[in-house]
Amino acid sequence: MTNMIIEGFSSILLNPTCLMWMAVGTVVGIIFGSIPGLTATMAMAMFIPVTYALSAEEGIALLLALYIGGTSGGLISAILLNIPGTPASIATCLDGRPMAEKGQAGRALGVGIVFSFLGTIIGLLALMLISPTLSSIAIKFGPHEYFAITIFSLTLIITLSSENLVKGLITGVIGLIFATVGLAPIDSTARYTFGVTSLNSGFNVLIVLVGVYAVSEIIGTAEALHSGTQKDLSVLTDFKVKGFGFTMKEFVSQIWGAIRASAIGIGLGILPGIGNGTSNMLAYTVAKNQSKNPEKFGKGCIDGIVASETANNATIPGTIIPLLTLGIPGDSTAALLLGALVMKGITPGPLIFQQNGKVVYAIYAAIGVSALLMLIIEYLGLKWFVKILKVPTHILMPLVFALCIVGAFGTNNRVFDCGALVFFGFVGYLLKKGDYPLAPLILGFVLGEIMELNFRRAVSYSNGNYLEFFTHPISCVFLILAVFSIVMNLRSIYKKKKQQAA
Amino acid sequence: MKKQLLAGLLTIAVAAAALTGCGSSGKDEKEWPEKAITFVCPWSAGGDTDFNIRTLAKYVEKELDATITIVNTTGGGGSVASNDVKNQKNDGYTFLAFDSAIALNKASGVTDFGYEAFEPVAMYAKSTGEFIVVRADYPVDTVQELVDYSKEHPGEIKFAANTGGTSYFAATKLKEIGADFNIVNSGSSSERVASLLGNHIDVSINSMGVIEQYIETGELKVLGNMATELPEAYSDYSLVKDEGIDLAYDLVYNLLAPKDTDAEIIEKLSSAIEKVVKENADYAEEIKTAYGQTPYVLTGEEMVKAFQAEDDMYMEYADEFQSAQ
Amino acid sequence: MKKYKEVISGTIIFIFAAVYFGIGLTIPEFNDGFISSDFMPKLYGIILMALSAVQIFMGAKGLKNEGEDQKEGGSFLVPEVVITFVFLVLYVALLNVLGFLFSTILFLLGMVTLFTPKEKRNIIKIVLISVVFSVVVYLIFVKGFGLTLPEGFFG
Repeated sequence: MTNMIIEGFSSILLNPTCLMWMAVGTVVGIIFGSIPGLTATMAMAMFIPVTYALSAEEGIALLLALYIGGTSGGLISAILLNIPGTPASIATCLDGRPMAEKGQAGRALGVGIVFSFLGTIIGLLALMLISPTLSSIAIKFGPHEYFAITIFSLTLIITLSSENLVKGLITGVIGLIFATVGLAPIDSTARYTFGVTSLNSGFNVLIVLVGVYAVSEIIGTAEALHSGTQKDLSVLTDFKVKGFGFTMKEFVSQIWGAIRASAIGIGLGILPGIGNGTSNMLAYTVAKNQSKNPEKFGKGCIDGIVASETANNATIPGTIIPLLTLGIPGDSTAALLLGALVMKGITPGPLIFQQNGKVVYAIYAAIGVSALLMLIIEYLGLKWFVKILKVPTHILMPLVFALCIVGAFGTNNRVFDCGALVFFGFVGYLLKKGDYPLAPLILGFVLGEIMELNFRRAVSYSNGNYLEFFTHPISCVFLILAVFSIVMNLRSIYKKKKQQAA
Repeated sequence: MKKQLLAGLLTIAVAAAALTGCGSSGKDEKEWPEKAITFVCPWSAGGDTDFNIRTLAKYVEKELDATITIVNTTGGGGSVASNDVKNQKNDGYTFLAFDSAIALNKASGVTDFGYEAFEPVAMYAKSTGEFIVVRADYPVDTVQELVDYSKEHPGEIKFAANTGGTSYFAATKLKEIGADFNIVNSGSSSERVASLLGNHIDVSINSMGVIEQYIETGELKVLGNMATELPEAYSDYSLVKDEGIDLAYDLVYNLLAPKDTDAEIIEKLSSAIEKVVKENADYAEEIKTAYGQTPYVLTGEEMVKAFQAEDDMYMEYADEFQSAQ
Repeated sequence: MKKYKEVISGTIIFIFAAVYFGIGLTIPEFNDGFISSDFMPKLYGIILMALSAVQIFMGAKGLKNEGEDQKEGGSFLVPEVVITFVFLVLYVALLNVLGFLFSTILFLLGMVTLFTPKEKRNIIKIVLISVVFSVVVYLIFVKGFGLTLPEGFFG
């Protein structure tokens, strides 16, 4: 066994070609992650042919570097541009942008980078030490359980919209509604497609995300120009960032939050179907709920960034757990990894240690190294990232939009998606104008399909017996938590209203 | 002023370079392929169809001296991808990398077209069969026993089948001989395995690649192979049809082009595929290691006949599929 | 106009919800005894109609309290915004006609010019930025990464 560990680790750590490829992968990943619309998954798909020529360990290491770099890169545009680079960084905008507006962009980036690293490492530890336990838990989740957990996640919309409950709920339902466009789950009935075949696969989450956030930002810029209220961030920002921008003391105070967020990230990662698009928002809302000062969330506190970035990076090793131990990919990105492994003649599953132990240890080493590379590269790049804010907004925004078009087109090679992008930009603009929060829309959209699919499956499995949602223990627990969360949130909103009226 | 002039000249130079780069992508079919070719796979990465097309593409690329990109466009039981490619330009740069499900999609009404809406290129690989699999401690050991067991517990046994998929066909055939399952949807191949292990469903249909390790660990067991003949690699598992049950079909992986794609391009591609499958030892080795498959290829007239036969077989059940929904 | 904002937005959403629900009624139901694909859309439609009704009600109530905190930024569809939209739509429309490279150059030319305050406008600088950026992006992604971008008649 020790032989396997040594061989596995050294195939990564002592292999200069491998390390070089991983460095390339991390950089490319970060670039792709930071450009709204381009994703780690796209980058990985592009590099698959490259892996043919590499050994199994090198190939997987490269893909992992792309994945980790890509997920982390999203925080850069989230903080600097208020546009999440990937769905995994939506919650980072919530506190990242306010911090940037206060001139603390460097600090926000620093926090995001360090905690992305920490999240990956904690997730890696879980992967290495307790994967069998975690995967046996994952197996226990059937449609009833999935439904319950998505309902619970949806109740968090209430937390995300504490400003105005009704409006938050409205955008949440609008998100759910947009998710119904396309071929329905299970029976593939066409819904709201109006005969347009391009709509058959529904809207792509990235298009909705980038459209609603990015395009509405651009239009917002146009408006600010009109009223002359353009904020010149290049004046405000602290370009001379020392180290990572925050102190050791602050770091230590955030550790508990990081562990909690990692747990959420890993937990959602092991459940196939729910990925880091959800984990960052879930972690953020939990952090806000459990915080002693929930009001500072959304105004620029590092707790929010810690929660979001730790969770989304912890989800990565989380999705790899069912991939390796059960041969079941946690999401489409993990599916790519699975494809790459199978192409190398490695079939993940319960026997992977016996059959391909070396590769497993190589994967562990690769994750650790990628995390480290990401930390180093982003640290070195930190000062440069912040310099992006020096570009005047009136030039920066159009350039960003052009990149969004590249990303939009890149999702499926269709101009249709570019059109959809503008459409959602319009929707986002309208919502912003009406003071409706955007985050619940994305949450509703992301969870809509999973929720409906599992609801319908659960009902068919139990032959129409709705009580089974409560007789399944895990399902029951989450449904109760959902009710609990609604009650607690309503109570605190009511309390706040009373305080304001007083 | 000088600086601006220089910058301006530089811009023009760069633009010119880019333009010439653009211009060279000619549209001369006789020199096909001139640019990257795309194979669209309707299933997600990591599955058997995806593996087969990626492996084939790897070698065909070298034969044709071209770049082939695989794109996974999932959804609608494969119909999102098939609809997509059907409407693409027939310039020989986009192809559909599907499998027998194309006939099933038509039979179940998921699409209103089958292979005939395309220009078939080749049937380039055959699966070692789809297996009926249950948990190891399940109280049945053969397919017949399973059918009988379901009669004793009508509507209780959860059989995973996807609309428009081969699993649905299997379920329908078993229903013909009296089985009374609760036919449920359980997602993709690997999702079904997870569901089976987690006790959420009772019967699943999978190809060997996904379940092999679980059979070895003793968590799952196979009741029978639904292929029409015993595959070399998995000859230990009996065929369902050998139990006297009329359930046998082959899962074949195919490649199709949009209608009216130039015949010369089709010819060139199908010959390249044939060459790889019949002659390339590395290719044969790869498909054997991963899925126990042996090389299989059909092109031209024989292939069209095979497509039609498949189509006919499933269309027989069209009414049955569509009314059951 | 400003003070009716809440009522207007609520009404628009109500209409959207009603239309959505209406179309939802046309989704085929299957009689296998289980939940069909029309269920959730109808449910969402009803919920949204209810929520937007609440929104309209609350907005109407707010009208009574004249002069309550009016949020800034009440400008809606000012010329710059409309032009921006037009540019965005044109850009996408031209992608297949002119291809990514040229559409982007034109788009950037227009957008940056529009956004740049009159005093700071420097035509040469704008042309330079538009062309160089578009070309660089094209080269990196298409030639470098092998991504496909829309190609019009000119590439």
